[in-house]
Amino acid sequence: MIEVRGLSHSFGEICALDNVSFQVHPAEVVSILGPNGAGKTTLLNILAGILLPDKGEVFLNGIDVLKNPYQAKKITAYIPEQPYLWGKLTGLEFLLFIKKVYKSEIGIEKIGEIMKEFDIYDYRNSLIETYSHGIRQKLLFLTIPIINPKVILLDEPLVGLDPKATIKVIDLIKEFSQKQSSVFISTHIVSFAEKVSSKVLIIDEGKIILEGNISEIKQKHASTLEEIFLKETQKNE
Amino acid sequence: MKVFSLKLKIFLNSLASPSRPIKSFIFAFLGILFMTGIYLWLKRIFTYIVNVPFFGEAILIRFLSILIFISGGIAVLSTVISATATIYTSDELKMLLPLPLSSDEIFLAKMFEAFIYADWMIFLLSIVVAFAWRSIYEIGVFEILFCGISLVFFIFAMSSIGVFLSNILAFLFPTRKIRDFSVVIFAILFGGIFFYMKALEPEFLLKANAFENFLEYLTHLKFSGTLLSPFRWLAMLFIEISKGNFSDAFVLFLVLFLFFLFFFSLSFFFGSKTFLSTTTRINARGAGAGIYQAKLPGKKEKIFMWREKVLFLRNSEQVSQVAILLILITIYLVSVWRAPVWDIPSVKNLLTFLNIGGVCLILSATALRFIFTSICLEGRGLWIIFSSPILPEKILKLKFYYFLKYMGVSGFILGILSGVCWKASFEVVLITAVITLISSLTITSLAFYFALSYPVYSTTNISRMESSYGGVLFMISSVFYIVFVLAVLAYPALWYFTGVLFRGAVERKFTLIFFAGFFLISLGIVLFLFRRGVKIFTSRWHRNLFIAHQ
Repeated sequence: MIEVRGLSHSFGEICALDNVSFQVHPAEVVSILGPNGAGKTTLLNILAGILLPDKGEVFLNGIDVLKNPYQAKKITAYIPEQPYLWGKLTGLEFLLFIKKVYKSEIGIEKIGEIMKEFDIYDYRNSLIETYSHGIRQKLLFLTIPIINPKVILLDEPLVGLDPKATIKVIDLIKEFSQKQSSVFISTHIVSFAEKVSSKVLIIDEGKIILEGNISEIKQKHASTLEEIFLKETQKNE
Repeated sequence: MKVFSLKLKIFLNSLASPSRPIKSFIFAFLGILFMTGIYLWLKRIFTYIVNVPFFGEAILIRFLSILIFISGGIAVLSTVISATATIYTSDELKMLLPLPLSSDEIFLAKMFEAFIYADWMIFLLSIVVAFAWRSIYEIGVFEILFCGISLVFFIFAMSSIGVFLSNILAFLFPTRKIRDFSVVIFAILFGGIFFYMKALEPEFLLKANAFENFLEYLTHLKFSGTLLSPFRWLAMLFIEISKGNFSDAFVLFLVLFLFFLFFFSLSFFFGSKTFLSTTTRINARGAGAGIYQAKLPGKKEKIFMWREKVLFLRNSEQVSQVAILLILITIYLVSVWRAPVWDIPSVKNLLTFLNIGGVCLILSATALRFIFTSICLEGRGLWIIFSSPILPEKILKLKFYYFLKYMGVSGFILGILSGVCWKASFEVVLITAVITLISSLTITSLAFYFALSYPVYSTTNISRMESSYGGVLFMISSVFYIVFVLAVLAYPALWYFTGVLFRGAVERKFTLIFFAGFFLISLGIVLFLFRRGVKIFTSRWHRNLFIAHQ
């Protein structure tokens, strides 16, 4: 469960988040939509315990991220948008590194199996610096089954992925949602949000301007989610 | 010309809106201070040399030739180092290559960019040399401009040689590691020439007694050396201009210009023809075969240090720097070993004590190159550490101990080796080794503190990290610390040496108290700097200042 209360953060005079509050329940997949610079990545960085907010509270499965980041990070998998990975490690070494850091029980054979599922097994002993963006992204998604998290945070997860990997990612999200994990996704792709999530948040200029169940929102506005997104974000321009 | 004007615009924009005006100002101030110091030093040297009876001019030509030779050598070497990164592996190429521009134009722009990166410091320092020169010979602005243009042609000719060499290397060995290999090859060559020269003892090669008379000897000193040397052409051009012999100077200028034209055309012709194919082959993805392997440790904390070691040993840039450092240390130790010192034990012991400063400077340079940059290189990967279930403070602590261990051992060994090379007594060797050990710990914490307080994440270029605000501040603080060490330890050293020389006994009690005090002060500095640095770093990271600004 993700619980955010009155979160605010500024970078100098730029207000990135303004009193943001929401909840993501176990087994729920929530997507946050918003134009560039709306505050989505800042929000995810705070949820991941990387950035301290100016104001507000964040609880992951009841653990206060700001007061007890160590415990909160143990149950969280975070995948940033443009992740830098240590190029001089091999893919397999990186996954074994994650396994050790999160004290995962998963065996090396299982890691090999999931690498095969994502079609990156052949790259396991090559340095990450030789990987394409898509392979790096796939490698990062493999950390999710290794961590076996209660909370999953994804920032623009489909960037650089091929159609086959996109389907795998969607399956992975559904699998962990069924395992009672709370999944929070930041994305630009409205159709993807509609496909995987039960609920959406629309954020603009640091404020949540629309929140709710997708089918209810669509019914209420009598239009597609894409049209609603454009309409709501254009109001602020 | 399109690429040139684009580059110029980028440069002018960066000048018009510096990202940190205060830091830029301090940087400029320090730069001017440094150049003023060099000017005063050169002026004194030139005045002294020119006033040496009979030999003045001959020595001046030699000195100038040496300066030009060093500048030319630096121009070739630094162009070889920067050309591969600038011409073949620059990220900018991803943007430039798809544009409707001829490869000749891109190569030419990149070639000039490599020239500028490699030579700007030489040009800056040559202004200082020109001013110092002017204080000896009354020469006007026109003459200075003439000399300046000649120098530009000479340096660009040397850089053209550098580009040509790197073109050949990149063409023959198309790998991103080529720069590191060439650096090591050049360092080994340089070391080899040094040891050869040491063995040759050039100071005894020219025997004055072999000449019939004094004038013959003097003439030989003035005009010895090959006429085919461009270093000599430029030195002679400066001398002729200073004496008002314009016709001779103009001939030398023409020769220099043709020399430039030849090497520039050669490197441009070869480089532009092979540019596209070499770039494609260099940037092709390799399989990463034959990489260094290390067994994964069992403990969660140790995995971070495993990562540190693996990342370091797999980085050819780091390994090449270690090779260069070892070559330079060997050169230093051989120079100490061969230094002409009186065969008096107290003199050797005193020199060993003073040598602590030299050893500490080597340690500071090592700390800047490996510790400071290690924190900066973490930058873009810090999200993994900060989002992992491990306290960042703990990782930093592990990293600190890791460096402390290596620097402490290096300091101790270097202290012993240099003491042995100075042929000091066992007791003095041991004392200096302990002092360098303690100093190496403080230098490590200084490097750590400045890296944590002023990290550079915006680049992966290590030389830019070293010359950053934090890097320069670290070196300045380090030099102050070394002076502090020598000043504080001067008292016990004085007691020790006067005890040995005049009283026949050493007052060990006071000496030990002083050393204990020095140890405690250093320990205090180490702990304070580490804690303060970690606090600044974590709080700034969490406030996202680094991300927001870089």
